Amino acid sequence: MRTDIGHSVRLVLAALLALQPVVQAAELAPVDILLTRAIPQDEAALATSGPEKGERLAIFQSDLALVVEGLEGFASEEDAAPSLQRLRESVDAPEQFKDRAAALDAVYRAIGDLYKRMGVAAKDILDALKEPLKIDPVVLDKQGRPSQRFIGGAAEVAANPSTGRILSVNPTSSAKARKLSR
Amino acid sequence: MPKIKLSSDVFEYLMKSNFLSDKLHKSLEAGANPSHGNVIIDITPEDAESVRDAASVQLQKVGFGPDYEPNADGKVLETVIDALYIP
Repeated sequence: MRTDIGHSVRLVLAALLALQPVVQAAELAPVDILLTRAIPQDEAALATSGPEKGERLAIFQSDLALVVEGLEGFASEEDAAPSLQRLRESVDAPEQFKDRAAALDAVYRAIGDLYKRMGVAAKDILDALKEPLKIDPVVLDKQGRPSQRFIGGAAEVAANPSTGRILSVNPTSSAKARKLSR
Repeated sequence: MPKIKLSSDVFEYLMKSNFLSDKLHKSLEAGANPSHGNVIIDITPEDAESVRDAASVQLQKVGFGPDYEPNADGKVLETVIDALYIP
């Protein structure tokens, strides 16, 4: 199912990007895209009709821009490695971005989750991993696989700490964020 | 007090679950009102978050299959996590 979602995501993105001017893409490293282009979703949301639809579209676009321009643009693992190293140093999320495949898997997983359920922006996922308000203890599932939840101000991210794979992403309630921030 | 709508099946899943405390079971039961195949629950934001939190941990424990796609339990638990989200 994730493959289908990823394929659909790529097709829609290709259409979206085709309608946008190519600006600075070749000059931007993934970390720059992550820290700049993924964020102004609120502005994009205002430019569309229907606030809910516009917001979701903006989140979708910013996440896709991150994935495609930041990672899919690299032809090989070797080409992606230097930028991923920079990304790890900048956002301090080493496991999720240990290599190109893991990073793409993590982001597509998040986008799939976003699409199927409710929206959590890429920047909120990264914030939860980078500056969590709380990190839950590791728990094991029935198959003995570990997972750990990182609770951020806007998103809760459960990930396998051994592989870096993101398992689920959910929005953090404002009440919980306030409580954990005290 | 917020009102949360769950399908009867999801509500029954929660009531039969062993990952919620007795207090939360009682809170859900006390606030539940059947309505056309669904259950409308009056619940405090604190209890809603506690249920959601417990469901999130349970999701990690039993909610994913070999390929990490949500299994049957996982889909129900995701529904609970979504339904009880109070922005």
